[in-house]
Amino acid sequence: MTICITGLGVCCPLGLDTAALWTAIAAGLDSFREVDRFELDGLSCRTASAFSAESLQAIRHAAAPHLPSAHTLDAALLFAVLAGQQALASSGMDPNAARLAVVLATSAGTADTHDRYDSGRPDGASPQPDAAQRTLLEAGAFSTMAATVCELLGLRGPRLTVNTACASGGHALAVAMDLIRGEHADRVLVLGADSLHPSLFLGFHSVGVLSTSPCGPFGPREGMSLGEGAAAIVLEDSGAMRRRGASARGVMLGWGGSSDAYHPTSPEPRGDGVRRSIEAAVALINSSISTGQVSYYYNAHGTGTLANDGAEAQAAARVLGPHTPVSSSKSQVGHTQGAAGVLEAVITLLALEHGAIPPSLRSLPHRRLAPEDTVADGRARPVPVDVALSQSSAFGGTNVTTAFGHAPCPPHPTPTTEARAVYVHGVGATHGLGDTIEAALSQAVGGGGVPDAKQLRATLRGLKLRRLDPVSAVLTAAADHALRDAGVSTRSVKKAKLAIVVGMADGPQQSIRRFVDSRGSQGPGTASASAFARMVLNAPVGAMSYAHQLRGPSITLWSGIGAGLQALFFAATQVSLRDTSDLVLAGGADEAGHLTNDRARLQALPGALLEAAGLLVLSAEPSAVELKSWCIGGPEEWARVCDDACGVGQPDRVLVCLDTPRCELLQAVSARWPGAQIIEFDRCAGFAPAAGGALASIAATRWIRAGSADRVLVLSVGREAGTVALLFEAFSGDLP
Amino acid sequence: MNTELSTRLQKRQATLRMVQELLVTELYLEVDPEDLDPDAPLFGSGHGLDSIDAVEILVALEGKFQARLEGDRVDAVRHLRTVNTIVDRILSEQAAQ
Amino acid sequence: MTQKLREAVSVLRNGVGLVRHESLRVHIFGESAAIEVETRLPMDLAIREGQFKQGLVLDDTGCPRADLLAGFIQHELFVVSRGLDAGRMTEALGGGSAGDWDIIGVEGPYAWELMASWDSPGIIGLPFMGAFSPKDGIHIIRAGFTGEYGYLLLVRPELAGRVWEELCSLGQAFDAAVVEQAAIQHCSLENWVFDPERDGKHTLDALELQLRWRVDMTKATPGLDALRAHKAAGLRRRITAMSAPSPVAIGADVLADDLLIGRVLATAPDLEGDTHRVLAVLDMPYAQPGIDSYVVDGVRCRTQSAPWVLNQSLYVNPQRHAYARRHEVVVPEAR
Repeated sequence: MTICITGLGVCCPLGLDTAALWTAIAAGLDSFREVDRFELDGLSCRTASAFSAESLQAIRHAAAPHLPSAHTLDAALLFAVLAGQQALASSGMDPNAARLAVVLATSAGTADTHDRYDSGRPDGASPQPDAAQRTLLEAGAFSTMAATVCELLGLRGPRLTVNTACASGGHALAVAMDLIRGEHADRVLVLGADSLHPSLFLGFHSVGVLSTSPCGPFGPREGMSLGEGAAAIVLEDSGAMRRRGASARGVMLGWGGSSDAYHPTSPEPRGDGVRRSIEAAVALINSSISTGQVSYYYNAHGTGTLANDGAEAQAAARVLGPHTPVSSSKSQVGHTQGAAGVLEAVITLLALEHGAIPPSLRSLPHRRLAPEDTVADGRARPVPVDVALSQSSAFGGTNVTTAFGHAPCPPHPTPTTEARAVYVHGVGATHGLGDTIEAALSQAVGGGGVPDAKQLRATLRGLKLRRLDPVSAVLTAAADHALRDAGVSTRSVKKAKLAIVVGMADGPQQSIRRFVDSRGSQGPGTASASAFARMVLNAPVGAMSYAHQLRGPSITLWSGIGAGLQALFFAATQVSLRDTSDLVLAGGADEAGHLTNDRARLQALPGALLEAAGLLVLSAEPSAVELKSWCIGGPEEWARVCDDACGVGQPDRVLVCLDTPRCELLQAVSARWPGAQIIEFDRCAGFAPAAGGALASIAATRWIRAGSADRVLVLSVGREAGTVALLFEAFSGDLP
Repeated sequence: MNTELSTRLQKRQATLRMVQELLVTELYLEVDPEDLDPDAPLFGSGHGLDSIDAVEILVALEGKFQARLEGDRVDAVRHLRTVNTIVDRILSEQAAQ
Repeated sequence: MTQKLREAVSVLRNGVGLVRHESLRVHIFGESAAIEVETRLPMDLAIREGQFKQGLVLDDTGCPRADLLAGFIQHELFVVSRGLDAGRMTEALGGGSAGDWDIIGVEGPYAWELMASWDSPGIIGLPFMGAFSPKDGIHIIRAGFTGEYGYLLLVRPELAGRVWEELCSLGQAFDAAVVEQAAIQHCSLENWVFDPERDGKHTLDALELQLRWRVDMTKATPGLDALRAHKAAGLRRRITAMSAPSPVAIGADVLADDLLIGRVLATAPDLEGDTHRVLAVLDMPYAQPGIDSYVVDGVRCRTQSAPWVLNQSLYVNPQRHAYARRHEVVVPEAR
């Protein structure tokens, strides 16, 4: 099985389609301008790769005939839909094609909509979100972006949203590739989209990394420049592609990831995290390309900051050698945040196709620690390479490297590891209300016992536990419980390699509030740097990784209700497919903040709001509880997904997590398995949009360990995350 | 001791205390304010604060004391070495006004 | 101040100095032994691999007896200490034995540049208190005693000679000089760096020496119990930095309007010899910077904030600067 690229699409200031984009890239152009769509009072930096107000209007106008909501759609959504349409068209695929999934990468999501929601909402808690807010919620606010894109494109299959800030795009490609390798989809539309808005400028300015003029990674000019836009890639299984008579434009060879576990915003300064990420991506290539020299091109994360570029260059040189050509696309399209990993992959694929290497603008004279062969030619260098790598790194210290090669298939297909069985080695949950660390640590969900708060504090104290907002606290505490339950000791090497997949819904709301409140109170220089760093969706995961020194690949899903169960689903694919992922920590976390509160009321769900995290340690080594099957589908496909998960067997219990009361579904589930106990999780335990599925999985594990059930199905159905079903079963074989 | 000395010492002590409390609150430090020894290094060695903390401190100080730590934030490095150097700067700004 | 000392201090403050440390001890522990050691130390050791932390050995009254650096390299716990001999250190740590290591110090605003030419440019990224092993038999910790960029190289004795020669030879490009311990000690004092030999004989505890940041006050060890009790009772005196226009004697009284308020613990001249750094212990109400009316040895002195030196290293950025272009680094005038 080879993962082929069968479609590409873009919508960004440097090009509204891939041909225009490549022409501009090859000519050494950039799309930087003074931002005119909003005010940036007092900020010295107003330069970004941006659509002017006029051109954005023109795009909306041009799209209106085939996209009725083009004039009112949030900018990021608009870009995503346009790029997605392009990619699907270029793939020649029917949107009704079977087994088509969507993975969307974003960092700020529908930022315009968030802003409107925030400004329309008084500071105190409102008793009922009013009609305006309801409209905004449904129009694609919060984590509904992937669902909304699916609806606009007429797609009904599984949908996952990835948000690891600036690394989202790379991680989305990783998720997509493994969905296909795990045979959960035959094809995946990968999208990355983000738009510019004032908070981005204020936030990055407060952290001190914005350049006042267009960035020049590896060159004398220090600092980054923002960008916006969307890109889309269709990944497809080679067999499915051939069956419909299509052909590949390129091949995705693999991916690698790592966590720095070093600092919330600064990358590990010796580039060690990036090095491990590149090594992991390259390891797969070395086994998939025939012997002989392989020539590489390295498309750097290359933001232009002192903190990133030098460390990254060291890392690339150590793995690929000092003579590999390096360039940063951010010198041409700016830092497009969540879209970067996909947009830069598109540029990288176009480069492979055209046999030329994109330039790195304004990189002369080179900074100390710049790569030896920074492509400073001012235009694309007409030299073909065998393999191209694209790197992204993010706040929270997560790194991802994706690798691409030429079509037709390389001489040896992407190696398929024999799928491994997956077992639950440990579980850990925290459940608390309140925003102090003490309150969060003082309780636990389920029958596993109360965590020792004092012991946890002692363990975590020296690792700078300060600045833990509520969701970071519950997540870090839950990780401690889960790791102890799994017997993973404090300093073991195994722990260092542990991979992480966490699902979130509304994220660190207290930090978001703090940042919003700090904005503009005394001028642009006073936006809170630490709140900005802590409000990115994957910041809690970064804090957890740092506290426990977990350094494996880390992916955060922003799929809203059901995100935690989706994370467990993806974690299971990791254990099953990747022999470097022996242990994966996965689950979900929620904060009882203003967004979640509004969501709960809006969707009329029963049960009290939970501030909670649930995490499981999954492993390939047998244990008493096996994760027998893990399946995914669109929101309407729940019947098929349940069949896939359970086969002919009957579960003893079914735990159901929903996004809205769905009586018909519950009745149908009861009818399907008359002998099973059907438990509506929200009604019994409370509402935790992301953590709910993980907490339910923990309950399932505990029941099976205690012998009160042998087979438990955990099912999540909703618009945002689609359908996810996990079947837990008592393992009857011999344990080591 | 004479009154002039007494006044100066009290003013110093009061400002010291305010800065210690401000740092503990703004940076979420898990120590009592008095545990920030006045001459202990804040960055690097000592309390190991980082670049984000530096920004937070500057913003908080500007807000609370109206003490603009002048010019380029790079030079703020010298003024943020210890709690005492922060107090020095605040008192000199207040005297200049 | 002798000419030799003056030159050595100047090198440490403006370029890069090399020193062979004779009085540092190294103890190494495996993962499980490390847990045991941590219970005896007054700090917590929840730090990442490749990271070090500054700490102390306290006696039962809370007075520091040794200065130490503890950290993890390749998952082993390293404790590098000075102030106690090997035997007493082993006793304090509850085991282990002093390892056989030569320790070379490289310190100064351009120490990173010499290290980059000796190892690789990547060493610029090694953060303060970071550590790694560039080769077998050599560990590097980014730590020093002068307040400038500093590196400690722990080297197996059989390799030390060659490493020393390489550093000296490469150092020529940076006008590097070999400096004696006396120069390091001088720089330690003026940078407010704890020196057990200088500060450990005055029966001042960690609170009075302003070393709270080196210990975890919530841990339970006899020394920390004493500190907590002292803190609860209220601190009565504290070390303070002072400046004098002429030399003063160690042990001299510090007076405020003829009232005895403290005494001099240590003193050293600045490079030009115009002023003298005076480390004094003062009674609490008087222990504040910015007072110019205290008298020592008949001379009016001024209290000030520590440290006495504005380090060039604060203004040298390894990603931008170089010794060959050191004139580009502008250290702002003191206000």
